Amino acid sequence: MDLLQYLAQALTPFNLLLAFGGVLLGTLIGALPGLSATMAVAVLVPFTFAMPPASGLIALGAIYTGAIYGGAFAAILVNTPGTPSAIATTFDGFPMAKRGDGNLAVTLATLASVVGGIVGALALLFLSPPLSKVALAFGPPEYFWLAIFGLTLISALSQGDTLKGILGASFGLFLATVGVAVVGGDVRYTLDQPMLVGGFDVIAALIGLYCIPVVIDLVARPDPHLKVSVQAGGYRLAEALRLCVANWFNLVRSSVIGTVVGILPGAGGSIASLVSYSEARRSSRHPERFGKGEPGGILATESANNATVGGGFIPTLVLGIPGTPPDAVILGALLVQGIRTGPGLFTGQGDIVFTFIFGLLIATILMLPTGLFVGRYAYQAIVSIPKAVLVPTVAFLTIIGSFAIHNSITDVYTMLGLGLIGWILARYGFQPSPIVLGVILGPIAEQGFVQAWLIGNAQGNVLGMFFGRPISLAIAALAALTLFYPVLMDTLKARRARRADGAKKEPIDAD
Amino acid sequence: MRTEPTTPGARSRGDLGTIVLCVLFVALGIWMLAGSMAMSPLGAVFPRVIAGVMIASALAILALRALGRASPPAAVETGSTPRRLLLCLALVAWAGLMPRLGFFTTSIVGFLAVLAIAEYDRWTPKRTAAYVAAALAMVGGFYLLFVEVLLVPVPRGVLF
Repeated sequence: MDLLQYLAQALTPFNLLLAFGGVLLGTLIGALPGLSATMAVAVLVPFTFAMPPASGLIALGAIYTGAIYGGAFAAILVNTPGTPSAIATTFDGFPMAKRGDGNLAVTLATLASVVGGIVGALALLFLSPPLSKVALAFGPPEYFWLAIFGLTLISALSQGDTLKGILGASFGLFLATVGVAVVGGDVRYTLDQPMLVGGFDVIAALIGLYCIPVVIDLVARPDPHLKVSVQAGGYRLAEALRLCVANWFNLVRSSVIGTVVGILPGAGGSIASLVSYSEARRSSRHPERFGKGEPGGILATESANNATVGGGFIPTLVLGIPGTPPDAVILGALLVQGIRTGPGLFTGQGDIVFTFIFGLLIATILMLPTGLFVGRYAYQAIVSIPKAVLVPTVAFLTIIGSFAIHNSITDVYTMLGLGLIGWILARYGFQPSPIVLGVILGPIAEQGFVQAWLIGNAQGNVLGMFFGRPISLAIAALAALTLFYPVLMDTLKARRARRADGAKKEPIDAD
Repeated sequence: MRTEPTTPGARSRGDLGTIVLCVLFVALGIWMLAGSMAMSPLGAVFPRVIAGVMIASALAILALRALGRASPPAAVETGSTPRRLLLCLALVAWAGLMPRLGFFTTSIVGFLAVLAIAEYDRWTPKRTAAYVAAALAMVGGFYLLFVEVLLVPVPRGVLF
C-alpha cells in the first residue's frame, strides 16, 4: 500500500515533467562525445537544490539514465562513443549503420536501454539490502579478475589477428601507466612533462582513438558516410521488438550483469557493457557475426550500461558508497539536501527514497518515446547532412568535447595525438578497441593486482589471494572460457569434420 | 571503411608497415623496462609485465612473418592520401593555434578548412554561402552552449 502511495507521489505533473525533461536533456548531452553522464549530472546538480529532495533526485536520476543511453547515438551513427559506457556499442552499432540499418540499431539500443534500466531500477526497489552485500564481497583480487575478464574481449575485437590485439591492448595498458601510479605514487613515463603527470584522460583517449581515424578516412572518398536503407524507414520498431524477443535471454542476462557490475564501486557502465558483450558473444550460436553488425551485441551492451544506473544506486543509498562516478556526484547532492545515506535510509526517509526509485522507473519508461523520437531525427540528420559538413562538425565536436573534460587544451592534444597514432596503427591492422580496453581497464587491473599482492604477501599466501576466493575463481574461470572458447570450438568443429569425412570415406573403401 | 588491397604493392607496404610498427613496439617495451628500474617495486611490477607482453607479442608477430605463417596483412585503405594528410595538418593547426588566436576564430577557420578538404563537388556561390552559414551556425551554436550554458572557459587568445 505504501509503495502505491510513493508511486502516486512520483506521478505528480511536476515530477513527470522533471523525469521527461531530464531524460531528454541527458540523452542530448550523452550523445555529444566528451560530455559524459558524470558531467551532465554535475553541471545540473545546483539546479536541483531548490527542489524538494525527491523531485531533485528524480531529475538527476533521469539525466543520468538519459545520458548513459544518449551515448549510443554517436556510437552507432559516427563510431564515437558519446560516453565511455557506449564503447562496446560501436562494435556492432556502426557496422549496422554503415550497411543501412542505423535506424534499427538506434531502436534496438532504445529498447535495450529501457529493459536494462527497468531491471536495474526494480533491483534497486526490491533487492537493495541483500544486493549491497555483493559490493562488500568484492575485494582487490575480484576487481583484478574482473578487469582481466574485460581484457579477454581482445580475442573478439582483434578481428582475426589476436597477436595484434594483444599488442594493441598492451599499448593501451602502457598509456594507462603514464603519470602517477595508482598504488605507490611513482611518477612513470612522463618524459619530465608536467602535462603527462596526470596521465592520459580516458575520455580524451577514446574520442581520439575512435573518432579521428574515422574523420581522416571520411575525407578520402566522395561516397556517402552511411548507406540509406532502401527497404525500411522510420523506427523499425516491430523488427526491433522481434529481435528483442528472439534475444530475450541475452537481454535479461546483460541487464543482470549490468546491475551487479553497477553495484561494484568504481566499476561503471563501460565494464558492464564490455563484460556483457563478451558473454553475449561467447554464448551466441554465431559468435563470428559479432563486431560485424550483430543486433545481439547492441542489445547486450545497451541493456547492461543502463542497468548500472539502478545497480549503482544500491551501494550509494544503502552503504553510502557510490557505485559509479555520477553516483558520487548524486551522493554529494543527497548530503546537501540533508539526506543521510545508510541502511536506515529506506525506513527513516522511505518517502523520499521510494518516490525517487519510482521516478527513476518512470524516467526509464519515458526513455522509450523520447529515445525513438530523438533517434529517428538523429539518424535522418546524420544521413542527410552532406559529408563535407558532417566531417568538420564531428572534428569540431571532438575538439570541444575533449577540451570540456577538464577545460584544458592538454586533453585536446592528447585526443589528437592518440587519434593520429590510432589511425596509423589501424592502417596496419591494429584495431582501436583493444587499445581503448587497455586504457580503461589498466588502472583497475593494476590497483586490484598490486593491492591483492600486498595483502597476500602480508598474509603469506599470495596464490591463495588470487586463486583461493570463490568469486575470484568464478570470474577467472569465465575469463579463461571466453579467451579459449573460440579455439575450443574451432578444434571441436575440425574434429567433427574429420569424423564426418572418415564416415563418408568408409563405405567407399568397403566397395 | 576497410577495403581489399588493390595491388601487390599495397600488400607489401602493409607487411613493411607491420614490421616497422613491431620493431617500434619492441623498442617501447625495452624503454618501459629500462624506465621501471628507477621505480619502487610496487610501481614497477605492472609496467614490467606489460612490457614483457608487448615485447613477446611484437617478436611473435615478427617471427611468424619471418616463417611465412603470418595472417594476411591488413588491407591498406584506398582513396585520397593527400586529403588525409591535409586533414591531419588542419586538425593539428586547429588545436595548436586555438590557445593563441582564440577558440571561436580558430574553430570557424578550422571548420571551413576541414570542410574544404572534405568537399568533392564543384564550388558554386550558393553552395559556398550554405557552407559558410553551416559553419557559423554549428560553431556559433555549440560555442553558445558550451560558453554560456555549460560555462566552459574556452581559450580567448588574441582574437576571441
